[in-house]
Amino acid sequence: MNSLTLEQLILLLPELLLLLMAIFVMLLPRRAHKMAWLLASSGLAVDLAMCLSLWNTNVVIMDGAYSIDNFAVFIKVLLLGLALLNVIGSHDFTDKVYRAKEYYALLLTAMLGLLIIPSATDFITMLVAFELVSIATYVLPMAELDNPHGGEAALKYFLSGAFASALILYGLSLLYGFTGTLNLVACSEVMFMLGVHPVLVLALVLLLAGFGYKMALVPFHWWAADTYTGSSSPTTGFLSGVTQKGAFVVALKIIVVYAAVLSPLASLLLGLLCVVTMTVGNVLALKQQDVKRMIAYSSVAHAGNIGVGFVVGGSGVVGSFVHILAHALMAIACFFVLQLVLERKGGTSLRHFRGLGKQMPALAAAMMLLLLSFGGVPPLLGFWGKMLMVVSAVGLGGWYTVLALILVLNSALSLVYYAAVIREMYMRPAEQELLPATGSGKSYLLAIWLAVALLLGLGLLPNLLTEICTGAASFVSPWMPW
Amino acid sequence: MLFLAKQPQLAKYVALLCSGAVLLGSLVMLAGYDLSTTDYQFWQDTEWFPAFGVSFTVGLDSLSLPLFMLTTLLCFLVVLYSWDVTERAPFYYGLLLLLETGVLGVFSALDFFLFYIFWEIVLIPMFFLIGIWGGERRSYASMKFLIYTHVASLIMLLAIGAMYFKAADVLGYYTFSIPEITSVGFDLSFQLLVFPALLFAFCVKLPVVPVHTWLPDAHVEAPTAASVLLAGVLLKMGSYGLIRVAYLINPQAAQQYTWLVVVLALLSIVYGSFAAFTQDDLKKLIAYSSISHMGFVLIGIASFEEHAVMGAVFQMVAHGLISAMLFMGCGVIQHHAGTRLISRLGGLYGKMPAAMTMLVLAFFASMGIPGFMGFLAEFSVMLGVYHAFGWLVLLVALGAVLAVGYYLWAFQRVAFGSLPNGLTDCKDIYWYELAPMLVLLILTIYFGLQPNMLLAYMSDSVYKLVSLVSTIM
Repeated sequence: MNSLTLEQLILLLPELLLLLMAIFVMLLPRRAHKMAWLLASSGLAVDLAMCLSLWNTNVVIMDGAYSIDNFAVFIKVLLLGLALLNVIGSHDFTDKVYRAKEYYALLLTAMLGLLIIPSATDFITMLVAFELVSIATYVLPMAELDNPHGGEAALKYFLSGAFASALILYGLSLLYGFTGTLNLVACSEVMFMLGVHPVLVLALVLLLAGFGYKMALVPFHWWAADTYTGSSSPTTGFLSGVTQKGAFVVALKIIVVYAAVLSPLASLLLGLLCVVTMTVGNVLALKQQDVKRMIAYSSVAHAGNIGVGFVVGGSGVVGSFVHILAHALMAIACFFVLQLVLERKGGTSLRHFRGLGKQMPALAAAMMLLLLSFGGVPPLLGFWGKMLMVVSAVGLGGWYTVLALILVLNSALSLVYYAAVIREMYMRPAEQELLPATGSGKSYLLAIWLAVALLLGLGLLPNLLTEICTGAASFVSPWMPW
Repeated sequence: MLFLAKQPQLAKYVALLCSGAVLLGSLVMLAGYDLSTTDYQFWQDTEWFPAFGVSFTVGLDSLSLPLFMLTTLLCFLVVLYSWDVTERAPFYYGLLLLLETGVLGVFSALDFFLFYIFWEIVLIPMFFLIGIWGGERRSYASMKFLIYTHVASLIMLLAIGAMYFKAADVLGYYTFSIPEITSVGFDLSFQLLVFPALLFAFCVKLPVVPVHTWLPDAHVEAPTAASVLLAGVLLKMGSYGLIRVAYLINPQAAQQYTWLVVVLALLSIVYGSFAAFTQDDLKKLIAYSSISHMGFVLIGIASFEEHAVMGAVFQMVAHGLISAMLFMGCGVIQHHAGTRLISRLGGLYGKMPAAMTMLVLAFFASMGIPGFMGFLAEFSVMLGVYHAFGWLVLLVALGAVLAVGYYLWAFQRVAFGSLPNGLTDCKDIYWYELAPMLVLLILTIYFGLQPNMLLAYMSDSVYKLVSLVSTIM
C-alpha cells in the first residue's frame, strides 16, 4: 500500500531520468568529453519536454511526500530550460574542462536536486535536495584547468555553503522541536494555532540567514563576488542563473510556511534585507573596474530585487518569477559574453571592452541589449519583472511605496555602471587588438543570441509569460489552511 | 540601418527617404484632421497585455497633433542638415530615426504604459548620439543626461502606478488608458500626492531651474543635429507630459501648487536670461535661452487663463521651430569657423553673409520681434499672466527684454568687428544647412503673420484645460 505504483513512477520520470543520465555519464570513458556534453544536453532537453507535459497535473504522490503542482512544474521547466541554455552554450567550453564527464555528471545531479525542491512537501526532503544541489556544485568552479582562481572560488563557495547549511539545520531543528512536525503544511497549521513565539522568530532568523547565504543577500553575500569572479564564466552562469534561483524557491516556501503567523514580521525582515542588498550590491558594483566582478555584484543586487517581489506578495510574486527568469537569462548570456571577451581580448576588465563596438559589432550589440535589460529599460524583459513589483507595491500603499521607490532608485543607480560598459564598448577606441579567432566560441554566441531573443521577444509580448507565472504563483500555497 | 555598414553613402538617402515618408504621412493626417470634433482622432487600439489593462492605443488630439507635425518636420530637416556626417553614418542615421520613433510614440500614445515605454526609448539614441558624435566632454554629458532624465522618468512611473490603482478603484477594472484615467477625477488628497511627483518628473525634462543642470552640458557636447532635436522636440515632451498627465488629470492639485510652479517658472525665465548673458560659448547661450523660453511655457500653463495657455501651447511649437533654427545657425558657425566661443569669433559677416543673415533672423525670432511666431506666443503669455497674477508679469517681461540684450550683444561680437586670424578662409553656408533653416524661417514668419492656421488646431486642448479650472471655480 505504500509501495510506488506505476502511475507514480511515471510522474517521477523526469527525476529518474536525470539520475540515470548522471550515472551513465559517470560510466563513460575518461576522454569522452563530447559524449558527456551530448548526453547531458539531450538528457536535459528530454527532461524539459517531460516536465512540460506535467503542467496542470496537480497531484500529491507518495503518500503526501511529493507534490506535483503547477508551481513545481513551472519551477522545474524554468530551471531545466535555463540549465539547457547554459549547457548548449558550454559546448566549446567542454574542451577546457579538466574532467568533463564529472563536470556534466555533477551538473545533472545538481539539476536532480533542483527538480525535487519545488515539489517537496516536508523540510527534510527539501533540505536533502538542496544539499544535493550545493554539494554537487561546490566543485564546479574548479573545473577549468587554465583558470588559476578556480580553486579559491570553489573553496570560498564550499566553506560558506557548509556554514550556511549548519545555520539552516540549526534553525530547522528549533522549528521541529517547537512544532513537532516536519511537514510544511502541518508545520504552518501548528504555527497558526500557537501564534508568535520567540523560538519561532529565532528559527526564522536562522533559516533566513542560512538561505540568505545561498541567495547572496547582504550581509551574507561576500562569497558571491569571489566565487562568481573566480569561476570560469560558463560555470558562473550556471551558478548565478540556476542554483541561486533554487535557493529562492526554498526561501519562498519557507516564507509561505511562516506567512500565517509572522507575516508582518517576516516581510519586514526580508524587506530590510532586500533594501540593504540592492543598495550595497549596486554601490559595490559601481566601483568595479573588472566587468565580471561588476556583474557578480549586480547579481547580488538583483537577488535583492527578486526578494522585494516576495515581500510584496500577490502580484509581486508574479513579478519575482518573471524577474527570476529574466535575470537568469541575462546572467547566463552575460557570462558567456564575458567568456568570449576573455578569449578574444585577453581579459574582462573595462579596458578590454573598449572599442568592442567596432571589433565585434554583433557581440557588442547583444551585450548592449543585455545590459539595458539588466538596467530595466523597456521593452526588454528585465523591465517587466520590476514593473510588476513596483506597481503591486504602490497598490498596497504604506511603506510598500517606500520599498517601490527604493527599488526604482536602485534601478537608476545600476544603469550608471551598465551604461559605463556600453560607453566603453561604443565610445572609446580599442586598446587591445583582437586575438585570433580559434574557431571556438560559436556555441557561446548561440546561447547569447537565444537568450537575447527571448529577452526581447518575451519583453515585447509579456502576456503569455505573465499568465503562466500567475498560474504558478496561485499554486505556491494552495494547500495552506488559510 | 545597421545593414548599410558596407555602403555608408547610402545611409543618408535611406534616412531621408524614411523621414520624408513619415513627414508626408503626417501631412496627409493633417489634411484629414477634423476640426469640428474635440475627441482623439486617428485612433488605433490593439490589446497588448490584457491581464494588466495595457493596450497599444494611439491617437492624436489638438494638443498632440501640432507637436507630432513638429517632430516629423524637424526630424526630416535634421537628416538633411546632417548630410556631411561621415563617421559611422549608418549608425548615426539609425539613431536619428529611432529617436523620431520614440518621440512620435510619446506624443501619440494614449495608454500610460505605452507612453512610458516610448519615453524611455527616447533616452537611448540620445545617449549614443551625444556620446559618440559629441564634443570633448561628451562622455560626461551623455551619462549625466541619461541618469538624470532616467531618474525623473522612474518617478513618473511610480506616479503612473499610483494613478493606475486609484483609477481601478473608481472604474472597477484595471486600465492604463489615458482617456479613461483622465475621466476618473481623483480626489484632492490623492492628487496632492501624485502631482508633485509628476511635476518633478516633467520639470526635469522641461527643464526648469533648479533641475535644469543636465541641459547645458548635454546641448554643448551634443552634435548639432542632436541639439536641434533635443531642444526642438525632447523639451516639448516635458511640457506635453505636464499638460496631458499632470494638469488634465490632477487639476485641483495643480491649482493648489500654482504658487510653486509660478516661482519655478519665473526662476527659469530670469535665471536663464541672466545666465545666457555671461556665456562665452554660443551654444551654451542658446541653451540657457531655451531654459528661459520654456519658462514662458510653464508660467503660461500655470496661469490657467485662456490667453496664457494658448500662448504656452503656441510657444511650444514656436520654440521648437525657432530653437531649431538657432542651433542650426550655431552649428554652421561651429562647422565653418571651428569654434563656438564668442571671444574667438568676430567679423563673420564679411565672410559668411548668408549664414549671418539666417542667424540674425533666428535671433530676432527668439527675441520676440513682431512678425515672428515668438512674439505672439510671448505676448499672449504675458497678457494671461497679467490677468492671473498682476504685477508678476514684469518679471516675465524682464526675461523677454534680457533676451534682446544678450542676443544682440552676442551677434554684434560674432558678426561685426575684426576677423580673427585663423578664420580668414571660412566658407559660407552650405546648401544642406541653408535649406532647413530657410524652411523653418518661412514657417516662423508664416505662423507669425497667420497664427490662426495653427491656432485652429490647438484651441480645443486649450479650452479643455481652462474649462477644467472654471468648473472648479
